[in-house]
Amino acid sequence: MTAPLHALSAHELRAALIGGKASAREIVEAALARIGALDPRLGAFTDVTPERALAKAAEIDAKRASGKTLGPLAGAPFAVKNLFDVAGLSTRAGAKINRERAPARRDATLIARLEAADAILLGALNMGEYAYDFTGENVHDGPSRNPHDLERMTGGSSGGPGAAVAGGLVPIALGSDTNGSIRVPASLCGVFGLKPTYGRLSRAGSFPFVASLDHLGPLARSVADLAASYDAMQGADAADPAQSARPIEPAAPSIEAGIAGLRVARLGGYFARGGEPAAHAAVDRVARALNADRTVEFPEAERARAAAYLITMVEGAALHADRLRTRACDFDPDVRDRLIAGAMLPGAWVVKAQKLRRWVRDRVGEIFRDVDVLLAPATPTRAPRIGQKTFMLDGREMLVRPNMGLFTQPLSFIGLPVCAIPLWSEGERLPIGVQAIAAPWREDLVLRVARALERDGVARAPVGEPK
Amino acid sequence: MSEPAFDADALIDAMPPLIGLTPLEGARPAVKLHLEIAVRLARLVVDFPLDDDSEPAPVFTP
Repeated sequence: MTAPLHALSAHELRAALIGGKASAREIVEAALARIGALDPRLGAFTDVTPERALAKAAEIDAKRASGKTLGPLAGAPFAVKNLFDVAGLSTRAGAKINRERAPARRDATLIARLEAADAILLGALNMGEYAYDFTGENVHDGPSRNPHDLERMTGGSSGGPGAAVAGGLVPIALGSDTNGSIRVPASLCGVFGLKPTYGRLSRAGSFPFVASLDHLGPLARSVADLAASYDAMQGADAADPAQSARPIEPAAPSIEAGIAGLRVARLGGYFARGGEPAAHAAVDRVARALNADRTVEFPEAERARAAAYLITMVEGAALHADRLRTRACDFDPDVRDRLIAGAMLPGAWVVKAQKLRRWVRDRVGEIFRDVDVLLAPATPTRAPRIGQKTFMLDGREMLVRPNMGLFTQPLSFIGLPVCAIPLWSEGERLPIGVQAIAAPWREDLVLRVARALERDGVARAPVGEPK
Repeated sequence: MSEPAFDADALIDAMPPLIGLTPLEGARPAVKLHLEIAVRLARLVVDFPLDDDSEPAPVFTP
């Protein structure tokens, strides 16, 4: 084996484990060494759990030694955005206030499921406060930094997951995505990110943000790892009342099926303007690779984004109402001031926004009668500089923090499954992502497309080596 | 008939007692900015015609 352990995918690590080329302990030690060497500069982790990881590794090594079958993610280190409950840790959700919470008594459901597949938890990851963020900056913990350029943002709010995966600290991380918080860091850090269908994966044991829009999902450097981790996390969970009653529908078995027979179109209108040229050029490149010569319109995309924005402001403010009353000075001011504004908005706006949500869902459902996969930019730009407050889009100066989600927000608004796919143009040292979007419950299709692009070399997620 | 102009400062003055917030004068410029963004976006939502019998999606099944 030539590549170091930290650069291997979860699938390659499992093969190394089964083939006797590395033990689970060696894999964990390599990951801990990588975290020790790079994390002071990346700011990806807020909690590392070496004792727990080494105990799990010992369990896996013993399992292998006794000839038992290893799980599909055997030996794969992973880490979770710090809004997931990790037994023994306070679930900080990026907030100073939450550090006073009692340690979680049990793990979030999705952590338990990955560990049941023999993956190994290495700790909890940095994030924007209370997930109200697209930058990856955190006033309490410092910013997570982009492994491809430490002066650049990771994107957020799953900034730690983006940095940890792109930096080769772990092959898989879990994030949350309310308006784009998996897809934005996936785009800026150059990794694959899956936001599943709303209601697909259990949210039990995660700190909420906007109940109407919250999703959880994985980020990874390979599509096979993304699919395997997603499959391992599927399944009913009575502890999440928002989860839909869907059977387990594994996606991994079909990711090598290629694009033959798939009807792929790009989204026009709202999604074809407003970003920097690189964002739209990335979609051009993917469309060419997939022979997607059709363009379709997403009905009322701008209104959809507006509605998601309002629902987020109001539900977020409602969630934090007591803390705003009693602990206002302990918030990140950038988060607090948006929440305060949200607390002042008329309730009728949100009811109308929720009606519009159903209307848009119905119209988009009609599009999927004769299209299987849609394409759109993931972010309007490559990674901005850390601390940058505004950027120019379409000739207008706009705030970075709320507007990195311009292209992600209308899609999560109606719960569609989306895979963020990383692209690098010739000679460019920062990536940018494209979204592959499918009808509800068709995660398999977006993963198939992502895998076809990865196999053909159009998409890739190299490990960043910070200078 | 044109709509009356939105006065964010008046809202920021009026709302804190109703919702139990302590006024944070330092936060006023940012809160005002976010209110103005929300008002602009709300126009897109509120102006969109929907039938009286259209259903909201509070528990959403895609």
